[in-house]
Amino acid sequence: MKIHVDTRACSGQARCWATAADVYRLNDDGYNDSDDYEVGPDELADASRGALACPEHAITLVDSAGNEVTEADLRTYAGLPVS
Amino acid sequence: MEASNALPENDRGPVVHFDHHSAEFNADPHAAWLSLLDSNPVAWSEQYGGFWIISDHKGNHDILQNHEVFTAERVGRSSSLTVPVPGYEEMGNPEPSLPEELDPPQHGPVRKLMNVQLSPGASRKMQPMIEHWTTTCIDAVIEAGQCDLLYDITGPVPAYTTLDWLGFPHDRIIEAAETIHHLVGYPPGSAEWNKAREDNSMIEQTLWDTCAARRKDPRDDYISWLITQKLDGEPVTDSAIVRLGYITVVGGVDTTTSLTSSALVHLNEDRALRQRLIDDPALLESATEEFLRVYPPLSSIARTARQDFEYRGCQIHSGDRVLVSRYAGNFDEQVFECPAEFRADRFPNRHVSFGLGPHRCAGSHLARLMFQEMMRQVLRRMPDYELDEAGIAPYPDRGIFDGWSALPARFSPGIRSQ
Repeated sequence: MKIHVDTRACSGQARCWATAADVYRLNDDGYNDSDDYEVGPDELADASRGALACPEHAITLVDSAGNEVTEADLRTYAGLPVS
Repeated sequence: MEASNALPENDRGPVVHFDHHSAEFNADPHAAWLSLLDSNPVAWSEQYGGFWIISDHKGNHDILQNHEVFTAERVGRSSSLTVPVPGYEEMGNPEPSLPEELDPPQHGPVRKLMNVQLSPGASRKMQPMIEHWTTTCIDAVIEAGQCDLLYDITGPVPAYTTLDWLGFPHDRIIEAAETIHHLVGYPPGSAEWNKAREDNSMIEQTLWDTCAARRKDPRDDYISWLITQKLDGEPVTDSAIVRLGYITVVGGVDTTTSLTSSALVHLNEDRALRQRLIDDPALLESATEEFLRVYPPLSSIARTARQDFEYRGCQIHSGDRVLVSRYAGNFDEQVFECPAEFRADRFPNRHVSFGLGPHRCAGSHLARLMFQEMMRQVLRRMPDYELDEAGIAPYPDRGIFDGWSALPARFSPGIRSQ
């Protein structure tokens, strides 16, 4: 599972980092610098929470086949009830 | 209205009766925004020469992330911040505000001059100053057992912290903060607003003077740092520094004030939540986002269509003004479960209170830190504060900025801590 960041949509809200600082890195300007980061199995919950926290919807997770993880699955990985 | 100002054959609609500066609106902005959200999330008002109002969460994304179609650049002399309300047109610097009246790609290099100094990491380095000013302001009133939370704490703490960082002269900080407070909270034409409009030139002149002084004698402040920087390969000009300084004053002093004041009013009502925050200080982290969602200091922001654009069945014309409601977007039940409920642990909480897109509030990270320090110290040092309900007053004009004009309070006297 990899993190995909739409760097054009990222506006430096930094909620990913505030939510999951162990997974998401910011550059010196405060924008998400974690595009293409390989998410370890023990990081999946945090990576999902960070993606869900983004007000710009700039973060997705992509599986090994290149498919985007759905918002419902992100919620499941994050341990949230699927609404 | 003269014929030359009349709208062309109008296919804009649905038309709603909406005036965010009217007495009707100001009597209950929450109801006014939610009525729009529920009935016509894309609507046209014929007030102020006509403008679109977009009030759902999706609309915030669609408009604010699409700078190719919806420009932040200035139209005429009106601020890009709002629809051209009478009174605002002729005020302030005739040059574009930096960086908020620039679109990408011009926006990026200017915005970088703010981001480097206001990123989450850089903002955290300001924590000692935030604690210092919060402690100082509370020390000044703690023994008395009464104060005005707005004038004594939530107003001055962000003003001193932000303007001290900027390099603004200490003896002018409160005057500048009160000027902005009156400009954003009072209707154009009111006595307070007219005086503030005159005093506004003091802020700009002070920035010019400070810039000249720092060129000779640099200090450890943002203006001195800007002088050392380059923009498009050239040293940053005084004009650019003054405009970056001005947006720091406008963005920095009354907004965090409004958020913190609203939270303190909320906790005056909701004593159970106040006790939860006292018992579990870690809850403040997620509660901060919920206070931001429910009480956005800047409740709307405008853009201008640079081309004809069909949007959700509505025909937006080139040159049309578009007002986007952050407030209503934050109450959109498509995104927020039970939006009317205040949930201190709400997650995810994708509120749009700092705006979306390239113009996301540059001071958002600093704002959170200032808010949280004020809340921590008030809840620790004056946990039984009680507002004088008869004396509290919201802004008279809540159409663009929302906030408070007076928050008289009593509490058990405490001891100074420094």
